[in-house]
Formats: sequence, C-alpha cells, structure tokens
Amino acid sequence: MSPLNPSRVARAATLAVVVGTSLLAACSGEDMTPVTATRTPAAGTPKAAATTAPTTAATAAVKASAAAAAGVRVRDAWARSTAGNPDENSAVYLVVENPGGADRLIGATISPPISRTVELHVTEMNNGQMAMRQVEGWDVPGSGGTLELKPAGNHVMLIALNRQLKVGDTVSLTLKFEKAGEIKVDAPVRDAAAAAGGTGGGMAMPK
Amino acid sequence: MRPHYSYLPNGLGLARVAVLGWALALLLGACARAPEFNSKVIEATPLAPELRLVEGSSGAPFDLREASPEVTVVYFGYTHCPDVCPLMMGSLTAAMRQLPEGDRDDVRVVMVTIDPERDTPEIMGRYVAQFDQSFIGLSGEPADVGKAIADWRIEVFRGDKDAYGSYFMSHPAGAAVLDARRRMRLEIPSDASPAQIAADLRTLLQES
Repeated sequence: MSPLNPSRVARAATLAVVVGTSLLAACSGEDMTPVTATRTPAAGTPKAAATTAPTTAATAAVKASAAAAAGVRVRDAWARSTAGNPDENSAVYLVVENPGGADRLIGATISPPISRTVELHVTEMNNGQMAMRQVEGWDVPGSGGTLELKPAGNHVMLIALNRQLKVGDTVSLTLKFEKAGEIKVDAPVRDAAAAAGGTGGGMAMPK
Repeated sequence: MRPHYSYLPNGLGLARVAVLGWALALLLGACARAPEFNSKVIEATPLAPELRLVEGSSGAPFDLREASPEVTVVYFGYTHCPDVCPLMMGSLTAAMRQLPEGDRDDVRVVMVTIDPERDTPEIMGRYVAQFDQSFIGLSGEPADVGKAIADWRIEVFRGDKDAYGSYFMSHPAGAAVLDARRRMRLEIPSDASPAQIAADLRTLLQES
C-alpha cells in the first residue's frame, strides 16, 4: 500500500476540516463575538416606510377617535418629552392603518396650540449627514396598507413649544387626510430616553 | 524506491503535518482576530482632538483630557433637533442602563452643541439631564464651539431662518467612542440599538 494512498489522505483531510471548523466555530462563538443584538426592521431602517404588509406590532392603549371616516385608523401615537428649555421642539410618531382605499396624510394641527407651528418632516441621511426636510404629506396605501411615522424617519414636528412636555401629558393632534378628513389623535408623552431606548420593539415599552 | 519521502516516518505524515498546520492556522487566526464591534471601527485609532468647552450643569470648564474614564462617547448635536438627536441620546441612555452598574462609572457620555447661538451651557446641561444625570452637555463661546467643530471635523450646515428666527441644522449622524487613552475607536451609527451600543461599550471596557 502506498503511504500516500489518496483515499487515506482524503479521509485525513476531511477529518481535519471537520475538527478545524468546529474548533473555529467554538472559538469564535464564545468570547470573540460580542452579542449581536436583534435589530428590528423598524430600528434598522432610517426612514419610515409606507408598506402594504399587515403590521403585527402590539397596539398600545392609544385613544384614536377615528371618526367614522373612510376606515383610516391611527394607533401607537406618542410624543417625545422635552427638557424644559425655551422654545423647544418635539416630534409625534404614530402608525396609520388603512383598510380602505388609498389616502394621503396632508397636515396636522395641535389643540390647545402648545406649539407655534406643526409641520410634517422627514429626516434623511446623505453621506452620513442627518438633515430634515419639510414635506407636504405622505401617501397612505389602501387595502390594509400602513404609514408609519417613527424616529429618524417621518414625523409630525411640534415647533417652538410654549410649555414643557412631561411624561403623563397628552398632546392632542388633529390629522388631516385627503379623503378621510380630520381625525383626532391623543398622543401620550413618553420619556425621551425610554422612547428611544427600544426603537422598534421598545416603542411599545410601557412607561 | 521513494527517494523524495524517505526521510519521513511514512508518506501520510506529510499530509498529517500539512492538515494539522492548516487547522492550527485557522484556529489561531480566528482567536487572534480583533474583537468584533457592532459600530463602525475606526481603524487608524487617531488621538481625539482637543475638546475644551463649558460644562452645562456646573458652568465649569471642561477639558476632555482631564479625569478620563475608560470610555468616552462624544456626540455633536443641538437641542432644537427634534428627531435624531434625542434618538441617539435616548439610545445611549438605554445602553447605559443595560450596562452592569460597575461599568457605568467607567463610561462618560458627552454631547457637544453645534448650535452655540441658541444652546448656552445652561441649556445644554438641562437638555442632557433629561436623559441621564451623569451625561455632560457642552457649549461655550461661539468661537470656542466653532473651534471644536473644526478640530473634530464635524460638518455642520444651518438651514434658513423662518419668520421667527427658528432654523434647523444638518450634522453627522454618528457618535464617536474613545478609549481610555482617548484614541478614537468606534463610530456609533444613528440606528444602533441600545443593546448593540451596550455590547460595544462592554467590549471596549474589557480591553482595559
């Protein structure tokens, strides 16, 4: 038998591959790789997106007095708390569900008027630069589509607040839709840290 | 006649040696690899630029070189930023809460204003305190803040003022992480989760 019997060499090589690979896996699987956090799609995408996929996020106890309008519903609305400095800005985030025909969110007002203006803005990242741009509205796809306003994406901006937003407060917005008309939304104020703390899943974090 | 292999115990030995060596090389390669981070790694690890401004809550001078803890996070933003700045500060806050208590004292979070015209040190102090009492908010004379922005090569643009003089700014999305020797090691992206940030901070803390 030749010492360099090809089948023996092949077997030895296979064994080595198996052993080597498992050692490698064991090694890198322990100390070398820090825990990779689960990144929810919500946290990973810089922009809020209008999607037609049904959403499964837990519905928080948000009062959305959706008038008997064309089926547009608003849920999970919240506003970010502020520090108590003069002329502060804040943002309101929410999810619009639309089982009916396609619609468009075209504006928002606040009552009582605790901010000087309310605008619709989108945060965009270009070459690592974060910038905001005012927009005139967002399409809300129909037939079960959703429009999501979330941090680092689309938001309703409250500009120049005349009072501090504290946890426990409620911001009352009226959203204007092209077809559904006006829908009143009560957005509870969430702690700035807790709200950001769990982007995605944590947005429903009780506080 | 096998003249070429006659000095080996047997021919298979060659294959064994080669295979063993290959496996060892793989193993060592894996274990010697630098720790993995979720954040973007700054390979060149340059020394952090100078940072001397006014600390918000106390009004005292702040110098990055003094009382350096194990890890420092430096974020440039502004308090009228309604969306991404509170998102980053909130994520840093939540990340700190995920660290074991003993580790928190070894991490310093510093937010530097890019908007000294509106963000006085006092306003910065109040702003960062809403997230975590240990956070440091920095501002100062516009010229001093301008120097910090230039030294740190932070690109900042100011939008047009509205009828009331309000404006928004654009600025880099990430936050820099420095090690105990004030070398710039990581850039935390704006969409990093608190768990990812906490894992990176722990990995850096374990180095020291």
